[in-house]
Amino acid sequence: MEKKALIFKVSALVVALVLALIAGIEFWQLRHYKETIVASEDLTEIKWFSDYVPSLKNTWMDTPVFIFDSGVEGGTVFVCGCPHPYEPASTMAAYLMIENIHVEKGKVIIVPRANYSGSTDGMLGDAYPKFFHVSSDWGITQYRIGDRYTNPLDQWPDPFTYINYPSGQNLAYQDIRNLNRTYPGRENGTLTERAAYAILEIIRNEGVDMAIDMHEAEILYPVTSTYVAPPTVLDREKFLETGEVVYYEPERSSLDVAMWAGMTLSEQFLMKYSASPKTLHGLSHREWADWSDTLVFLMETPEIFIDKITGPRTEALMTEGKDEFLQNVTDKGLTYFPYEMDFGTPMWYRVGRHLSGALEVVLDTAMFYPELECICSWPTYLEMKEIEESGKDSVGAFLKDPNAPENKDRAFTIYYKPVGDNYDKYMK
Amino acid sequence: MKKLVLALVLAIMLIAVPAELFAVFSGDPVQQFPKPFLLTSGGQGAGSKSLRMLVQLTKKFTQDPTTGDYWLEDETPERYAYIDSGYFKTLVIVISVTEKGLGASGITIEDEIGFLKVVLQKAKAQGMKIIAISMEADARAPKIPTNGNERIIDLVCPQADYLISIKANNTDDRFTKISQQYGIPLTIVDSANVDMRAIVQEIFK
Repeated sequence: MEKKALIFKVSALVVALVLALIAGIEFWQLRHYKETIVASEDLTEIKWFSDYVPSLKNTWMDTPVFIFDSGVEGGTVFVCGCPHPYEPASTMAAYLMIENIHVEKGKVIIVPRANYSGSTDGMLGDAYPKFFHVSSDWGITQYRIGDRYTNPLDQWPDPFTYINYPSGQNLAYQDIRNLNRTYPGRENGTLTERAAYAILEIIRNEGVDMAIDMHEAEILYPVTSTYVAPPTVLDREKFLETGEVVYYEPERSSLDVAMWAGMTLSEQFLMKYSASPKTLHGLSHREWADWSDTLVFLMETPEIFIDKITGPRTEALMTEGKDEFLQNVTDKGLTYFPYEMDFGTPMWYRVGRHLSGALEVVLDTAMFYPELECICSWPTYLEMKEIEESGKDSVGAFLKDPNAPENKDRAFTIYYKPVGDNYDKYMK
Repeated sequence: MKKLVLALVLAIMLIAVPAELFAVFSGDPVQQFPKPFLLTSGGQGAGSKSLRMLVQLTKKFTQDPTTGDYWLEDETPERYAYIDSGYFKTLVIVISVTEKGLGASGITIEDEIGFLKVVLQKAKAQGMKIIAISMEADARAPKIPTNGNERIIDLVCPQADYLISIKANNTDDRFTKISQQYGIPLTIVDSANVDMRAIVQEIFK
């Protein structure tokens, strides 16, 4: 009897160890998988978050900042990709910008993985694929899906309630690991708060005039397919001197630009606009404007993969976005996006929306405020649509082969620290 | 790059060229109303601000609460005071509920509906004309009776003297039915950025 029990216990232990090993390998793969991109010839410099907040060096929150400076005086644009890694059209749009950008006037700064740590795990407890794939003429490339929050391996434990600094607003406990709830951040705060602070430092130190934050949202969430921009900003001087919270309408209005851009883009795809509430703190569309002089635009595309009522969360759901349950709910008039399952919400559509959404903001800012003109280009929604109609993957069509001889000098591995020699050439 | 320069030129033209050259209206003819007008949001959304932005782009109206052609006020009780001042002849309500903003600003849709009832009451007491506008793309989603926009349409539109909607927000004839039931003229515009600029100039000639 004792022998049988011992055999059972040992067998159970072996099975548990095997399962733990399999899970461990999966976690390891996601944690250490490295993506490689090819920057356009317009790349002039690469910095890191740790150049702005030194304590981030050698942490999983450090990440590269790609700078494309035309050398011609003009507006400066900052683009934030991957604030929430489980919204990967944001990252892909940033990658496509970096690979294809041309700047004629002004400067463009792009962070493709703003929460690098959060991209190294999945939504814990929500079984879904670790990767999705993009097909190009030169091969198939794999990209991470990631989490909404900073990886708990890098920042733990969470408090009972997260209190945003300096607003004092109470937020959900896990929002202490949510980059887009921790702005304006602090230099000596948690890892996520330090990354938030690094972004604000980029905006302030690089003289950013237009700051664009790329997200994705459920179609059961009202603020999907939308620009969010602040109509008012905090009187910082008064707040810092007296603690009094006073908001005023700034001379240059992000919301005016966003509203015009939304109306213009709606001829291509639905793009709503929404005003950032002055009492909802920690988000880019509030705090970037309150704690710097930049114009701020947050963009949301429709990503049904993160809606809670879909069928199985497969790679196809992420890349094609076809789901009969959401179609049912849409037919009953309950969603905030005119969802059509036949078309879905494919990756190219969401990436294209971000690319054109960002470009429209840059164009329209120049129209409202000519002194901020930045002339730059990257692939657009309409160009991608045309490629899709010819039967090709338009995301893959704009990606470059990092192994091609002509690209090797500008191939960069995206990781929390520089990998390979190419970074050295662009880090001053 | 050529495409981009072309896009910039087109974008500038869109603002610089008079909107009335391209405007497309249908439904009832454009009605005329007296200035000055007070602009407000029905639902605390950005709709009133987007109309103000379009009005500003026309460069035909001055903005001042005591001497100008129009003024924007979304806050309560400030908008009560402007109505009570007797300066404004027309009230323009843009139906625009913000789900994000309402909760964050500490008020509910019930509060906003309560405020709007007072706004309408005060405007009528002052003899002001009322224009209700639905101009934000897909502003009525989700189209269920408990949706804030639907509730504000139910409250404001039957009391209005004139209704304007973009075509996309009237695909279910929601505004057409109200127009017919209450005998209120309704004009439908194709697009917000071009047509709304033109129609505002027509209304407040």
